[in-house]
Amino acid sequence: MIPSISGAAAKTLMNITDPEMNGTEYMTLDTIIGDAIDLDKAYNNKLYLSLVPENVLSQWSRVSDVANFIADFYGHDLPSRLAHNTISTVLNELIENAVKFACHKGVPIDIYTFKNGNEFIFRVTNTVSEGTIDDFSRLCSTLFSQDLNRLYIQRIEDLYHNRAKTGIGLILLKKDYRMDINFGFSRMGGHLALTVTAKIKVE
Amino acid sequence: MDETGIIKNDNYSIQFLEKEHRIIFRGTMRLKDYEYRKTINTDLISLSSRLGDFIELDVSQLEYLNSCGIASLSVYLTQMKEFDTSIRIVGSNSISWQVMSLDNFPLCHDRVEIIMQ
Repeated sequence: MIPSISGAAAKTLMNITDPEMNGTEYMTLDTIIGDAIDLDKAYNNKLYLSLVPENVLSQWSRVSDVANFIADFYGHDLPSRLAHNTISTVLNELIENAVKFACHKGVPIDIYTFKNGNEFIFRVTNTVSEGTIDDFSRLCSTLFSQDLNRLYIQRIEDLYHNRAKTGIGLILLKKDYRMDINFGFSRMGGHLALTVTAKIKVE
Repeated sequence: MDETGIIKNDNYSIQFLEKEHRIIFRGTMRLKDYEYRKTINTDLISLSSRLGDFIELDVSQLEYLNSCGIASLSVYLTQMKEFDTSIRIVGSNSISWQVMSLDNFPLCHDRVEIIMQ
C-alpha cells in the first residue's frame, strides 16, 4: 500500500498540471517525501521520453544512449561542456534506478525534463512493488536525516563486507550534486508507481 | 586482459602499466553492479596486488562513471587500505563525476591523494 510517511517534507494528493501542455495532468502523486520542488514555474524547454525497461535490460548501454541524447538535446544552450556532462551523468543515474527498480518490466518508464535557463528538473516514473516502496521509505528516512558522508561510508562498508544495499546513486546526487530530490508514490493504471523528481542548476 | 595489459570493451579500457605503477582508465563505464564486481573488485584488485605500495589511478580520460562504478572504486580503495597501498588519483576538471565525487575516495582510504588537471 502507499505509505503514510512522516519526516522530511510530505504532501498528499498533489496534482501537477502544465498549462502549456493543454492542461494535461501528467502525474497525480498521492504522497510526496523530500525536498519541495516547484513545477509551477515557467519551464520553457520541455522534453518527454518513454521507454520500456525490458528493452533496456536487454541492452544496458541504452540507458547511457538516452542520457546522452537528452544532454545533447539541451547542449546547444548549456553554459559549459561540464554542464552537458553533468546533465548526462545525473539522468543516467535516475534512469538506471528506474529500470532496475521497475516492478513490471513491460510497463514504460516516463522521463520528463524541464529547463528554465540553467535550471533543470528531471522527473522519472516507474512501476514498483510494495517491497520497493518500503525500501524507498527507509532510504528517504536516512537520506533526509543523516550525515550523508557518514551514510556513504556505511554503504561502502556494507558493500565491502558483501552486505549489499541500494541507494548509492541517490546518496551521491543528494550529497555531491546537492540536488533537491523528492519521491512521489501513486497508482498508475492499476500499478503502484514511484516518481523521482530532482532539480539541479548547472554552471 | 590482453597481452598489452589492457582490459577493454566497446566503451571503456583499463590499461595496466606495471613498471610505472599506473592504471589508466578511458571512455565510459556505466556497467551493472555485477560487472564491476568482476572488473574492479576482482580483476583490478588482483592486478593491483602486484604493483606494490604505490599506485597511480589516472581517470582523467574516463568521461563517465556511474554510481555503481564510484561505489566499486570506493570498495577497491578500501581494499587498498588493507594492503597499505598509497594511491594517487589523477582527475579532470571538465568531467562531472570527477569534479563532484572524487572527494569521496579519501573518505575510504586516508592515503589517497587527488590531483585535478
